[in-house]
Amino acid sequence: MSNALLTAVNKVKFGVEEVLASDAQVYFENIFSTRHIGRVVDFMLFQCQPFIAASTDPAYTEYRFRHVIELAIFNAWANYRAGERSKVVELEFGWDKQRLVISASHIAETGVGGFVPGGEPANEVSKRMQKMLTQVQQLADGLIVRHDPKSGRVQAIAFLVVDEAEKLAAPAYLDLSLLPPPPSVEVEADTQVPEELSNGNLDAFLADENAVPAAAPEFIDDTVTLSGGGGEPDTTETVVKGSAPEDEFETRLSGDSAIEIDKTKIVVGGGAPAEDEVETRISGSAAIGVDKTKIVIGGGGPTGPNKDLMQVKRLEGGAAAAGGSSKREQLLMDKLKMMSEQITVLKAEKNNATASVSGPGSESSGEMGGGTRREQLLTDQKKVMSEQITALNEQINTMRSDRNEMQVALSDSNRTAAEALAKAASDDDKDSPEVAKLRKEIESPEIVPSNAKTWAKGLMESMTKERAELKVKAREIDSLLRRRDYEFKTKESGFVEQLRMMEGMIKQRESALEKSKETVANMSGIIEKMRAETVGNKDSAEWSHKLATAEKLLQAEKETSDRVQKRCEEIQKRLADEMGLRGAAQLDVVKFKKQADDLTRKVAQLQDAGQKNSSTDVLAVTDARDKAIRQVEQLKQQNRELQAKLSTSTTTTKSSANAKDGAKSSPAQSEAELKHKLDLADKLAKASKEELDKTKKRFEEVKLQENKLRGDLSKVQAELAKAQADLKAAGLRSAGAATAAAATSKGATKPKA
Amino acid sequence: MAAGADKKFVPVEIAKLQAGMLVDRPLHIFLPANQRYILMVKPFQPLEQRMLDKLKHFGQVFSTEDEIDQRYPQLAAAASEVRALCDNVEVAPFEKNRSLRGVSNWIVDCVLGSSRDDYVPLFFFHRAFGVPKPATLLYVADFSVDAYERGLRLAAITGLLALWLGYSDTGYLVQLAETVFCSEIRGTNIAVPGVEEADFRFRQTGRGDELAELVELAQWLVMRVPGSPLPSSRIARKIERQFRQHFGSATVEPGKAAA
Repeated sequence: MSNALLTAVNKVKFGVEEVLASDAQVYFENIFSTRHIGRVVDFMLFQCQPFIAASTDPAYTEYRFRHVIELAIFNAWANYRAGERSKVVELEFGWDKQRLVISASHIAETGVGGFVPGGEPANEVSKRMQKMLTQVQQLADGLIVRHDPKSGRVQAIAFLVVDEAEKLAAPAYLDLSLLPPPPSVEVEADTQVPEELSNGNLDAFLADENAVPAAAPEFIDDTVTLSGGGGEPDTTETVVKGSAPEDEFETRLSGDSAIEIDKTKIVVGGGAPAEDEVETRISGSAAIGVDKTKIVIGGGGPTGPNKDLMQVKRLEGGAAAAGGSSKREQLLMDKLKMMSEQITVLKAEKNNATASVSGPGSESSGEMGGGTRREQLLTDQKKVMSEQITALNEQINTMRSDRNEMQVALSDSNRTAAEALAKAASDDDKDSPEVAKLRKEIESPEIVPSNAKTWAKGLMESMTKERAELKVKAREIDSLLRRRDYEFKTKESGFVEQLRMMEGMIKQRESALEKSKETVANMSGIIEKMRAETVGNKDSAEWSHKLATAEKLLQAEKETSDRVQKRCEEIQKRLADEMGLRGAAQLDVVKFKKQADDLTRKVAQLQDAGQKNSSTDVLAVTDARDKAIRQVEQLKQQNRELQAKLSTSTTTTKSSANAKDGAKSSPAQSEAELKHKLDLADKLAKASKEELDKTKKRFEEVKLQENKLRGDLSKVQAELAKAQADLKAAGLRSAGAATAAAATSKGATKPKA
Repeated sequence: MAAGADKKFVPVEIAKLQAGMLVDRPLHIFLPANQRYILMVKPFQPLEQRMLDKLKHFGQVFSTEDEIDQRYPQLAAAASEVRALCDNVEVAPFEKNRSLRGVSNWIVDCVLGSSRDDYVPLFFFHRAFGVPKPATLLYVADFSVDAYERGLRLAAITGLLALWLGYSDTGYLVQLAETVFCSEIRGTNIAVPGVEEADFRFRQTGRGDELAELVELAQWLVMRVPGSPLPSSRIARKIERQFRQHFGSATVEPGKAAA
């Protein structure tokens, strides 16, 4: 068990289920406070009852389990890293039939160490941890502590086992930082975000993209001294044709004029055997025809060609490794390939040239007698060559100055190509062992005759010169290449800058467009809002006007109704007055009746009195009669006045109704208003009509009453007239009686005054 | 600018919009003269004060979608209940976890199951714990829109996974979600508004750390194709054991149960 457990634990990622059987029960719990630890432990104890019950001493097992888990939790809690806002103890707990495993993880201080029982504690926290872990170890059947010093994560794994053989005698400590990393999950390249980009470090990301070699390649600055112009003319059988014009370098070099290498090309071959020779071929004018320039670099020395191939391979490999090699590098690679092919071609040519060089040498040994002509020729040629050398020297000086200028401009050009070129050029400088051997052979008097030696020497010298010249040309081409590269880069950066500017302008325009759109949107919104507000204002004004008109109308109608009411009240008042008057008149009538009755009675009394007629009584009756007549006249007048007033009120009501009709015809009012007004007017008219009807009714009633009263009055008048007539008659009778009485009294007694 | 002829626009209550809030649906304004609806704010974006002022200025705001509370009626109640449970210190962790799973069980399928939904976990976690805070949202959105959107989903799903794994403490979950949300834009030393000093537990997750695995799993869940099986990691196994019914194919050995 112990070995199995230790093996299982000995990995970066570990969970307790990994050391348990398939029928195991595993629980995970994260404890954020010590408040409920008792309940958690009880819960766990309840869960693992089958394991405890199966042990030999369940009570002791329970005791051990409880204490181990509590100590593990408290160790994690008490020694948690300081400064954390929320502590969490990750508790894992599982068991099967054989073992019960408890794991408590926490984050400890970074400096802790040696806290495993038996170790040397690094600090106070480690000491505390050691004490607790020692107790855990004493109670449990084994203790393994996993610790990652980098993150500070400490995992204490304690276990109880059934099998005694599985016990661990000493605690085990596992430093996770020493373990090999877990196998990483493969992520597809498309989904991988570069680290610089994911960190938001755009500069670093772009710097990586535009990466350039840290060190610039060394620019070869060796000066070439061409000799031969001022020396003793050689009698070597060397044929040099052509000249070196200023703008087009045309040199033809051949061994014995049998081999014509190329026009407008310079081919320099070493004196070494074919397979070891160093060749540099430059075609076209370096100064003018830049596009026509071709550089073919071949290796030199014993392993020259192979070295070239290796170089090409290395460059190819480098390009492949870079993943995204630039176009420029690709072009250079193509050029190098082409150069290697040309090298192969030139090797064959060189073989022929070497053969021809050795051929004439042998021939010349046979023609020693006729050397004067040749000497003359050589002298002439030497002169021409010295002139050419002078011209070349001048060219070299010019190119050197150009090179120095270009050196500055080459700081950001393709270093790889420059390195390759420089290396090839430096290789050219070195004499391969074969060349040295050849040179040695040539110089040795035993092998080669003196004339041939001189010829070969001259040839070698001229070749050296040409090589130097070619080297210069190669450098020139190199510089031109770099210049072109620089120009290209400058143009590229210019275009990029222009592109950026254009993009900036586009962005500016887009933002301006967006802003303008936004402004338009805002303006439209504002216009809409204002329009809505204006419409609202118009409506409200109209409504207020209508309201004012309606209020005015209502006021007018109110006033009218008030007037009508007042009028009605007045009429009622008058009616009441009239009624009062009529009542008074009736009372008067009653009074008169009474008086009449009295008078009648009196008359009767007088009649009864007979003959006792007195003139005073007649006079009183007459006065009373006159008085009654006057009163009747007054009543009649009042009645007329009342009638006149009634007719006036009727006409006023009619005129107000007419005024309402006139108000309806206001042209300025809207249809609704008119309708409303019409309704109001109708209502008012109805009300007025009703009131008028009432008034009419009352009037009629009053009229009826008046008629009645009139009837009564006429009756009263008739009665009065009757009474008067009676009175008259009675008066006459009384007068007659009085006369008679007086006459009788005169006859008997003296008449009284 | 949307013609809005084929879409149904519903009015949005402006009083409910607040600066810095996480917008749960697209917000449009209407121009009556042009008869056009213009999209002003996209969903999942924070509502800036400037934009809110503009919306208030227009007076009426419309959206093509209903409010998230209408779409998911149980979201608000569940979020407040989860928050209350996490804040409750009276109950034991195992009781708390059981209740939490019961309350948030309906979201499991949206996160782990085939019916993936970005709205539910994001707004649920945001409602429950109020993270990321408005200032943080605005800052990260200004910094990088891509990092903002990815971080928002990642933080919500990480937080929910942690919740379901028993990390039922408000402070812990808030710290975890904030750290995950800001992890892409900042190194360890950049201060982000609205975020307190990040916990080193989350910043320096070591090898084999459960938190690191948690974030890895959340990343996988954010990027995954719905219905694809969980990757093999310890956390994934724990999650799978807990919510076995949400997965078609169980990759864990049978017989191992989990609390």
